[in-house]
Amino acid sequence: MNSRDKILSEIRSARQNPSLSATAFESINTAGEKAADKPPKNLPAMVQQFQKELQIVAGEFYLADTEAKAVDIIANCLKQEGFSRLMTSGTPGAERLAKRLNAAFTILSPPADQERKSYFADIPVALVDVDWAIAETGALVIHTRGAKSTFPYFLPQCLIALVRSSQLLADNQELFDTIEDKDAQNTMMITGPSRTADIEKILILGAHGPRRLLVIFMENE
Amino acid sequence: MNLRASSTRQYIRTALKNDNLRQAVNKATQTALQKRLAIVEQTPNWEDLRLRAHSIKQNVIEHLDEYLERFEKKCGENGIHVHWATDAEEARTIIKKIVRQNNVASIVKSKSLTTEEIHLNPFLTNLGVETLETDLGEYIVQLLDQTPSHLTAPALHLTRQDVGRIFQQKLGVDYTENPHELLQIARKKLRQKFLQADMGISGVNFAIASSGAFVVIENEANARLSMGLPRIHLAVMGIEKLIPTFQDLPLFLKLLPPSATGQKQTVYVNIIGGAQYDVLGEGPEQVHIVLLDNGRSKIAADVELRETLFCIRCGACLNVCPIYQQVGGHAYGWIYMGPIGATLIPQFLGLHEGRFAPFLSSLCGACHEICPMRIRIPHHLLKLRNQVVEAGFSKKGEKSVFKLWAFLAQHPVLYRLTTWLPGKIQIIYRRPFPAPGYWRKRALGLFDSRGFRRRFLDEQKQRKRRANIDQQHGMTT
Repeated sequence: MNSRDKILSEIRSARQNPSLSATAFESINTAGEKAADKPPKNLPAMVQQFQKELQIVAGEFYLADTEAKAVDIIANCLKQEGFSRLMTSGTPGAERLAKRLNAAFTILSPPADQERKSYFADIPVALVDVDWAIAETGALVIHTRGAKSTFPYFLPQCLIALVRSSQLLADNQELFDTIEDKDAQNTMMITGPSRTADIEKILILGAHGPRRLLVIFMENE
Repeated sequence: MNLRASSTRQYIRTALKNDNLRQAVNKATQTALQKRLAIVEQTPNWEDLRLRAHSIKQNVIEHLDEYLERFEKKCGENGIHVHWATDAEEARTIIKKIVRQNNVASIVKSKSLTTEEIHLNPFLTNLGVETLETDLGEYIVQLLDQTPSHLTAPALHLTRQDVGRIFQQKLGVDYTENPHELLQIARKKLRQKFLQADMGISGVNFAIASSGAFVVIENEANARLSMGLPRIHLAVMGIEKLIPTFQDLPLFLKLLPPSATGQKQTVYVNIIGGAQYDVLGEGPEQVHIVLLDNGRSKIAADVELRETLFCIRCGACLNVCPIYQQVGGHAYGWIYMGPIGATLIPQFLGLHEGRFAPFLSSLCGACHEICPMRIRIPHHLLKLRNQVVEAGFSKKGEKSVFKLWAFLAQHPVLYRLTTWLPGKIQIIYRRPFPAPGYWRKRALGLFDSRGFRRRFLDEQKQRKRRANIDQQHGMTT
């Protein structure tokens, strides 16, 4: 008998004894929140909640009603930090905005070759698109298999993410009820800049990932 | 450093003498508890969430074979290589084979208790493979050749001065006790390692049976980097980590981060459902997952104790435990510590090796109250205590005391006399009675001269009187 069969048969014999405190699983499970029971979406309230949650986790929230305004916010951040090079996620929204930036900045898109890792390793800032944002937690959700590269999301010191109003979902339940399993199985959720409190519980931003996260919320598509 | 659960008494004695340790543990656990409470108070249906999570885990454990087969099939469809390991040795052998076949020279690891359980780091280092922990706390304890002292905060027992000295000695940098500077030192050292590593190793927080994907949550981005940069990724997972579907994940994501670190959600939730290199041109070309039994299927056979497999390793029961707060994590002598550890130690290591663990509890019930999975930890500790005694591994002295008590309890006159006499003696001898062993560390009180029976009756009378007065004044309790 191989190990697989050994483990499974061990479990099958363990299953003979039903739990003493068996709860009616089905009844409790289906009593959970259902998407259909929820009130209709109130977008302004969701945006407000998203902003609040993002700020709680030390993320920065900017509202942009035009692309020109978004470009200004990005340029300001780059100037403030003294960055001259910017990498993008290579996705259409980020690419389009990056192109509108002043020629003083060098824009780098993900190269197709094997050297991508070292190519991106020292770039201090990235401009990225995301796939969804979650109002309840302030999280950004990225479908990694649909991305051009995942490196811009976690390698730089500073991450600037573009969120469109149509991408905003109420909570994680809505996310996993909405997206197909095959999309869910390659995703990454980012809630604020990376952090650690491993030394005396003192919170420090910027552990191995970004120390700054700016979200530019685009009201009009 | 190899800890032994059977040496726990020695560790406890050392820990109790260490005031720095107690201060550090107290500060850390209190912070975590306050932050947790703030979030729980904002979640009106917290109790419902606990109930639902408990019942989902119960369902999973009672149909574990079906869920595992389903998970294996789905992983196969996603191109994930699934390996089954009955014990730690088999898990290590599997990992060694993968390492050798792929000429792996360096590994970056993100925090995983399951890999600690199988002693993976020393094994890989002995194979000549550079294996680095990348979570800051784990990195620090690895430099010290220690194991974590808390399930989610590995270096909780160390002060910033300790960390400064460790970095100075082990990394050859100038001494600093500024946490920001210490983090920058570690980030710089490890960034290079992340870029060069051949393999990333992680644990698994949740595995999705219906989809063949696994979830790793974290705050530092070190798991993200170890999953996204090296050419091979390997995850080691206890077979109990399954949940049925992605639709169940939000519930567990709501319970785990508040209980662990007092966060609403961790910074990163990484979901991996296969290698992405073919599509992205980056990230792992191979993804392996080792399904580890190592005694779990035996635990599942006990209709009550199987509940200890519902644990999601949040560490909330450690933070709230009065015993853990006094002695810290290393005193338990194994990688799982605190109240839940005290239930796991005898079950994983055997009743003899783990004979002291179930007694490291005051049975106050705080661990059950706080557990997001509603595991009845005190109940299980009592059951395990019973098993230890039945197996003949309890202390002889303790046993004779209880035998004597049982005898007296069956003879009321004698019982009355023995509980009455010490009080009377202490009217003349007004010092605590000598109690070797117990005496040294604790203040022993004087016996009440009324004796137990008299005192109990007196207190009952008083209580009745108070209740009557309250009633007369129209107060109800």
